[in-house]
Amino acid sequence: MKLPKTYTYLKKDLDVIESSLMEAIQANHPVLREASTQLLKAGGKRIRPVFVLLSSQFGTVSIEQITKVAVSLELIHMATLVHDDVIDDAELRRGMPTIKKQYGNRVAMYTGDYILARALETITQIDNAELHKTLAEALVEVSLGEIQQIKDKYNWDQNIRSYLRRIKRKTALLLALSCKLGAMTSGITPSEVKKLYEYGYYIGMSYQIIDDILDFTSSAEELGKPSGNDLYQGNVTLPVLYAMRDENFNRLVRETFANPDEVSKEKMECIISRLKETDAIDMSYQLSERYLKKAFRALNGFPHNKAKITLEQIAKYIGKRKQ
Amino acid sequence: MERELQHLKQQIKEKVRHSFLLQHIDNPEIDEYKLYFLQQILNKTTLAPKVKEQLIITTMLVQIALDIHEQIPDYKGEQGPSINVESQLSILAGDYYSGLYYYLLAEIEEREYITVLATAIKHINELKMELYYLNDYTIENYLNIKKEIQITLIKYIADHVRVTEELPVMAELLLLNYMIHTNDIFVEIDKQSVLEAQVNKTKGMLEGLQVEDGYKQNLVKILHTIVYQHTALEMD
Repeated sequence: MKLPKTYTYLKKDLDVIESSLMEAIQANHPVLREASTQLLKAGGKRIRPVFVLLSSQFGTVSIEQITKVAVSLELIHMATLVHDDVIDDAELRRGMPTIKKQYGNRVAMYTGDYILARALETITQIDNAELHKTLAEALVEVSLGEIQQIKDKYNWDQNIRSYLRRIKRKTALLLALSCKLGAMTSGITPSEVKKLYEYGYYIGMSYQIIDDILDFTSSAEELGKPSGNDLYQGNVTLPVLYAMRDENFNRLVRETFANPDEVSKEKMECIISRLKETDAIDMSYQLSERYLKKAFRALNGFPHNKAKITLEQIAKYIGKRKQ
Repeated sequence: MERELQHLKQQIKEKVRHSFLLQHIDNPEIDEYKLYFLQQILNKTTLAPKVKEQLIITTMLVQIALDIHEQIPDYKGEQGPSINVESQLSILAGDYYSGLYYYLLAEIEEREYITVLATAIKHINELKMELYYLNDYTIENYLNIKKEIQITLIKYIADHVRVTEELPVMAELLLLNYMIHTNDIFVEIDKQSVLEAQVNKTKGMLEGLQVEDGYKQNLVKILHTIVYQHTALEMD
């Protein structure tokens, strides 16, 4: 997700957050510091800090508190990425070697645990019991979602509801939380906080569905990994679930993955091409679009300020995302 | 006292229970010595019983989370075998238990203790890195860092509630327990003599400890349990 040009007015605040992020990961041990810094410098969209900032602009902004919330959420996200790369045996992230690849599993585990601890040290500087209950509950949910994702691998009998629940925990929850915590910190009404939470949630759902579509429709060069890689790894995403309503495709998938270790490149290409012959991609786009519309609707009633315009632009950008 | 410990163990077991996880990973081990030490420290405070209990449970959850992550096979440089489902779930279990400690303390609005535990985790991971990249390797250096890793969680809690008198002897007991259960660092060194030295050091510290008799006897009992159950060493 690239920053739209109108984000430039956030640059100063985002720079403060970036410096605070850098400060937060200055470990004493040189390798721990180097590994965390490398991860931070690899960039990323900083969409969580952006959402925290934007959602705070409907109330009274305390940049000090907002920075703490934004830094903590980004650190939590980073810690998750480091451990996910061990789980997925990933060698590259954003074109750079993963911590796991460069330093090994053990250092990756220590780095992830260290970064998560820094996130909690930072957020607990804020004296707001409700905020901590909300964040803690979400953190547990995110972990449970990751466990569920492993449980659901190669489960061809799962339904769309379980897919939606999984992507909620995987992607939408932290985005929704970024909006909610940003809003909570700025002292707006509970119903406004709820609306911004919904905006983040719907955006997250739409974003993840498009991500899952692109896994089939983008080229290996665009994705930086083979097309259909999610399915190859056993992750049953929305396009697959829609396509499996077709009896022939359903049979093909079950037969092909009867022995997951023996799925060849040719077999994967065949599955992808057959999936594209069904209406699965269209149907998936339609569902993503429905979530986007809900995201727009959640913003109704907010004053027409720069923050609202930017949130709408982000939603439009997601709708048009092709890679 | 024993009933209270059993109750705490039961509570911890309930918190870590997750049917799918436990189908694939071993039941997380609860370090009973650490549990006992925490209980002893917190019983000397005026904290409300509910806070004490949650603090012990959450500290042990953090310990379990850190211990589980320590079990992930380390592959570096040349690609090792693909990570298996058990290891994947061990990583996620550790993350889940870390989330739970935050959740449980947030529920009872004990923000300060969330910070205390987070700072301890940060420190422990620094120490683990120091050990992993130990340049000046001697068995003394190695064991000193190990000892610190073993005691750090308890130390941060003890420092916060200002009950720190017994920390040095607790650290020696935990180190002794670690030494008895490990062999890989004693390849070129006579384990027996290092152990004997550690036992004598711990005994000496116990003798000089100014605490009530019953508690002191318990600590001596722990020393005996650690040594007798797992070694051929003889105690006076």
